[in-house]
Amino acid sequence: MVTVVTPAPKLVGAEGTVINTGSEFFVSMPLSNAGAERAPNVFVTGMTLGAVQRVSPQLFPVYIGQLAPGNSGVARARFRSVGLVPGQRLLLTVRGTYGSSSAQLGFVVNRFVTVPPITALPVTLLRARIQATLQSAVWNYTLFNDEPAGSPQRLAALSITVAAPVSVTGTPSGWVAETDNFTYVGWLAVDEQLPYPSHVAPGTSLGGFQIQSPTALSESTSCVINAWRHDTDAAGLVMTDLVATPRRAI
Amino acid sequence: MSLTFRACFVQLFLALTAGISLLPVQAAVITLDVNSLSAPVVAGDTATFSGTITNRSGVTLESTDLFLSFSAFDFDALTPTQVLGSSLFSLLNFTFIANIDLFTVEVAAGTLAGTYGLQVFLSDVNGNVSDATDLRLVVTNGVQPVPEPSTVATVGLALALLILSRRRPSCRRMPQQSFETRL
Repeated sequence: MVTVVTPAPKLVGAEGTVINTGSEFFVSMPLSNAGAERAPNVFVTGMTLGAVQRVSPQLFPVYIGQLAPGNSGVARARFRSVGLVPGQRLLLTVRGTYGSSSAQLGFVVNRFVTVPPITALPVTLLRARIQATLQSAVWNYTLFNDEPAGSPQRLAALSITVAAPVSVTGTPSGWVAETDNFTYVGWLAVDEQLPYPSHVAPGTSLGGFQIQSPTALSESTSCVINAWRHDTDAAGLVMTDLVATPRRAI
Repeated sequence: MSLTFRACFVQLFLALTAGISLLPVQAAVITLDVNSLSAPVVAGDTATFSGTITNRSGVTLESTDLFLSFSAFDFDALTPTQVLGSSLFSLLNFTFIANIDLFTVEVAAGTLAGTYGLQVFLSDVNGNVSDATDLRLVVTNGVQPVPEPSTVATVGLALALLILSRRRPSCRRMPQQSFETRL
């Protein structure tokens, strides 16, 4: 077998945003096409930062986009930063694929990043997470409220971006689902006044969010978890992350 | 064609070619020269590539200011990994470093024997990107490709014809025994 290598797109990394919170290391690196050839259907299939443990995304691939010459997308990941020393240089490696469904090729982009001093995030994020499990083309989601006990932040809404045909097949009691069956799925607690019994309290979790799709393959897409403050009866903090959803067709 | 006209034509041609040769050619300010553009690798093994990096970027570059990118390869078969930067060095402007370990390419076990392409290029913290270099990995002693049934049939037929064609002349060459007795 002979693989013809020229001409090909030239995907390179650029200086991105790096934040070290002391517990987590946020990396956001632009991926640019510095070549003369178009890079269609760019997916990131893996991200490593030296030997540091990755927190998110838990699953690959992550779709970046169609990168024409001169265009760029962004690869994002979170790593555990416990034990990292400010000033330390670590090699960030982004692996991925591009091309049509019948002719996909690989790419690898490397860039050394310097561990910055510990700093707080520009915005306070909700301490919450979502866990996904896939079984026979059915995606089940469980929400976890990781806020400390006594926190007024209660989970009240979940929104997931999807890129494949889906139908909602599961909604927890006290919640309602909304979807256009192709680009998003949202769930919202239906409570209208305090004490909002369907909200997810700190230290607890709620499962039963379920979608189905004709495809059995997954990719990671963005999701947003919203909280409602029970002390002020107002909108609370937000958490964004990537979660497994049905994989798009290319 | 008169001599004067011919002389003018030659002068014009020379002027044009000189002008073309004087056109500015934008050279890459960082260059990557891989020592070996083709490497034999056994499936399941890893090949190491070294080479020369030249810095004409105008500033000193540290080894961790340099990044390798790979493109256009069979990701099921090849896993390229940057080694550059694991040993520290400084590269002053208008200098080069030779025979430095650049990267490794792991060939997955079970990869079919054949030639696999890979493109590599160098970039730096200042956004400079080198020209791409095409590499070939010749995977040997891997799993041999199973011939298609049509191929097997064709080869079988050819062998049968070959055997037949060899048998016929050999019959004609049988030595003739003589039972004549000289009197």
